[in-house]
Amino acid sequence: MAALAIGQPRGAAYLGAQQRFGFLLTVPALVAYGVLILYPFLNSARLAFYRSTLMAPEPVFRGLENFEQLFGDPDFLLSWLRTLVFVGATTALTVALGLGWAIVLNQGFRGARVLRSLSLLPWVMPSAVTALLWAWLLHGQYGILNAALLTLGVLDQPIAWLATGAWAMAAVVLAKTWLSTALVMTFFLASLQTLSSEQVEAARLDGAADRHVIRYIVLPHVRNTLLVVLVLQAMGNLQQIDVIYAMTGGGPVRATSVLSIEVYKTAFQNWNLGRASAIGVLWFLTIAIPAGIYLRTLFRE
Amino acid sequence: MGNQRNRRTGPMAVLRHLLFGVALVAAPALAEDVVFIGWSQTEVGLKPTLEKIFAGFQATHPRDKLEVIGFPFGQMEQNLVLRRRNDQRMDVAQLQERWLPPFVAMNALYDLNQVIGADVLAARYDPDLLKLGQINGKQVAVPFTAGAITMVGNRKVLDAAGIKQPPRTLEEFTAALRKVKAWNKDVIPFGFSTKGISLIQVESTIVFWAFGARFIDEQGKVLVDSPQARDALKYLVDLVKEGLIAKGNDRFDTRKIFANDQVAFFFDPPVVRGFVRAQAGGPAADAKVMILPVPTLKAGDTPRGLLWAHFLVMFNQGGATGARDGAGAQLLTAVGMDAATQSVLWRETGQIPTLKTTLAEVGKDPYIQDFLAAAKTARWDETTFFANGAELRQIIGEEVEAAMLGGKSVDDAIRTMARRLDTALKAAR
Amino acid sequence: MLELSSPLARILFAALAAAIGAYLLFPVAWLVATSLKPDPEIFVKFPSLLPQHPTLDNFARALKASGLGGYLRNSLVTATGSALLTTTLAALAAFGFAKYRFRGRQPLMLLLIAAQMFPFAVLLITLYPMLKAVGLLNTLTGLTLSYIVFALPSGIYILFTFFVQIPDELIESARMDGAGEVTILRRIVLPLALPGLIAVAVYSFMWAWNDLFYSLTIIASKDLRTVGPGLMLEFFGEMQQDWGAAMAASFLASAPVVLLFAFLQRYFIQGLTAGAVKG
Repeated sequence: MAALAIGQPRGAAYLGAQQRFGFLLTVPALVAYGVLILYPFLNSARLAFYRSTLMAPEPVFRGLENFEQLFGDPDFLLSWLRTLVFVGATTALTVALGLGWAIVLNQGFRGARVLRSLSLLPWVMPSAVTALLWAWLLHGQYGILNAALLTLGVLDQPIAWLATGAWAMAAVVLAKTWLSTALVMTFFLASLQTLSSEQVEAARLDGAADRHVIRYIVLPHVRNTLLVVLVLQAMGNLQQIDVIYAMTGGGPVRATSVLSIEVYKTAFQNWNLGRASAIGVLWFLTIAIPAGIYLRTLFRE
Repeated sequence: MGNQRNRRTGPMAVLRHLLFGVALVAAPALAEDVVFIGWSQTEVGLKPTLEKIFAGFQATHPRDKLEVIGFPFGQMEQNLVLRRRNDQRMDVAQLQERWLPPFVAMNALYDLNQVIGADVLAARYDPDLLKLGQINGKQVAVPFTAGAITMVGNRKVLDAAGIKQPPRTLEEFTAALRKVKAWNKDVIPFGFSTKGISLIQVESTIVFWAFGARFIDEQGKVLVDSPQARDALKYLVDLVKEGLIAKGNDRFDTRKIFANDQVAFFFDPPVVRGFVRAQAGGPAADAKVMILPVPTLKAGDTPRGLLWAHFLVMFNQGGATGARDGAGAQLLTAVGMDAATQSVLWRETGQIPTLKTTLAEVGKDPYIQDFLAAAKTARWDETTFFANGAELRQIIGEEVEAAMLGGKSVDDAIRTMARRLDTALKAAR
Repeated sequence: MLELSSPLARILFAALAAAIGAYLLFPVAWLVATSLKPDPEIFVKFPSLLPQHPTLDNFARALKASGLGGYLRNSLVTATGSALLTTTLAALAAFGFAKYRFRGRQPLMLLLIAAQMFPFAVLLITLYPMLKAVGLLNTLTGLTLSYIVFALPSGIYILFTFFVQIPDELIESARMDGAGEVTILRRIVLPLALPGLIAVAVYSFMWAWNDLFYSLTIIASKDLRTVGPGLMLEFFGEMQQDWGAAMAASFLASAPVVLLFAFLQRYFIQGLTAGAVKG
């Protein structure tokens, strides 16, 4: 972009002015970021090397003590795995369902508009109630899922879904997916609406069936949106606390204790701020590396 | 020479004396900000009465600005600590009993003997209940309400299941549970919390004590690696296996289900009456709430519940003074030391009173009698007075949960619990 | 777009539509049904789909909850405010990163976006005393500013991908026609990036609207509370667990926002198709 148009007598000074302007544009955001995100982040990262607890809030430098304790806790290492499972499953499911629902609604059948608006409800509902609703649907004694499965004969005893390890994880995945599908659907729907009908018609003339249209026209078209949505959903699922905490509190037996829950409990229940910051630093380092690589490729394009 | 004379008697001197005099007169009348922070005033049963108190206080203290801050009960402790760490003003605060010791250890509270006066407190409060708020000889808190976490039974369910006598021993208790299950397999016999680590810890503590097991002694020595503890945990695990304890409910869920007559027994503090009233349609529902002693291992053992109280304290930061006639002291008096208020709260929500006058008036009620009796034999949670009490409680709760829900062997759970407690206690030293 | 020529295709389509639709909408219907049921109908092993003795008690209690209108208003104010603020800041920054090659832009952008990966709860611990120091604790302004934490870096990232797609030639030719930088921004870039801007606005609105923890901690006064904590205060507590009223209230609180979004969606789509034609 910096290439000067041939024949245009503009000088280096003009280019410099452009660059300054570009930088100036970023300044307001950088200031907000610096104050609200960077400073708290650096302060917290610093705390990771200190011992700071409820009784001894004045931070005492302890080097890598927090990190040693974390790595020595086998259950903490399991949290990484749980986080991977939760984030992976929820992101994949949300994106798949969001895309599917967008394709369905894009057909424009009667009532599609109403359905589209109604799909927003899960997303707008306060998270405290979402958690309550799903906990209630899956309740061991009074939940409708058990009632349905008992009636159909699939079960002969009701199952306390949220009190049973792997099912609890499935439950929180379903609840979070339910919440986010609408947003993803909106993104994809917008992208689909910009798909020109001429392209599709041309393909039809060439004899393409529905599945060819989807594979060779729709998917490439939404590719950019897909990437953005994947990244955003992954980051959002990584940060997710409210719904999980309200549904299972991180249990049963830590089955749903993903990193964000661990951090929250360590910071606000045990008030071990040094340790919580250490978890944050590790989390950051784990994500920053793939994120950095991804961003590099973004820049290259 | 001339200057010296002027300094004593000249116009400037007069002005200075005048200003000093004005200051003396104006000082007590200077407006104060006074802050109350608690959760009860946000809850449906107590809200009207407490809001009336606050309105009354503001009316009699027109120059002081009263700020009432409320948080949901579940977020209360967290916000108190946050405000403590950030030196924010909290003149009068409402505390659950287990939050008290950490704040005491931080020297965050005024000694109310100094602020209100030991004689005044002794005259107004029931002495046994007042003692609950004494730590290291200082009166750091006064009881707003007190009692114990003990066994609660649903009279309707028990009658229907044919249980005539409340069970006194653990053996009788287990038999009663089986009877309930035989009568109706969809009713939960024992609503022991199986969700929420802190609730699991609280309730399992009562069961462990019933078996004679202990967790930690006062010096920080871990005592839980014992046969009694294993018996207690095995008992709980077996109850789950037999279907006598349901999986996946915490005490809040259980209360709701209890109010709908689908639970026979569960552990609860005195708030159960207020809750059931709100859920199940008013004072008519009182009859089905039975307050029972905790079942014991052998007949004749003392039943032991967990000490339970809501305290009122005064934080000593953010500009709050401990002045005897300060707005803070007056607010505490208005909220916590008014006999008429406690009487109303008792009538409306079943909140156990703590003032001598009110107890004289209503203390004969069997509900109060049952809870005060339970409070007499109740003990503080053993982890309460340790600096990292929260962490210790988490360890206990996690290991019990692992055994009850996660299939961890009882032996393994107890041994791990002992080891983890030991590590945590050593690290805190 | 899909032809659905064969009966099999139609059946598959209908099945997919029904499955996803049921997953998304059945729980909402269940919520409404439950909030119309009296308690004895709820605590049964085999709850019926429709209330057998429908009652409006829960909705009555939900409406009586005095703070609900205020909570809704506060949520809308903070969420909208943060959406506007975040979108503006993100748009400016993203454009700067996308179209101007200044020194240090790569590492700067890397840092910006990577910091989104730090747990929000821990950031709050430092933000809290900062807000207190400038007197913004317990204010809607303070809360709105804090919400920037949730979506600013992501917003910059989203808009960066949008701006990067705007052809350089378009900008260059405008420059050659003598247009200043600001005019270029206003007349050419922003209209093309409109869908991206709306996406960021919606995204940051959602984060702020769904937030429970920050608003619970930063706001202490009842009349400044937002919907999440407000519902907790009104219906959940030590002595109350009013699920019925909470469900009714959350439905009442959500419906206006959904209507608003449904209404705005039309403009969203319009903006998109307009942009596409121009591009």
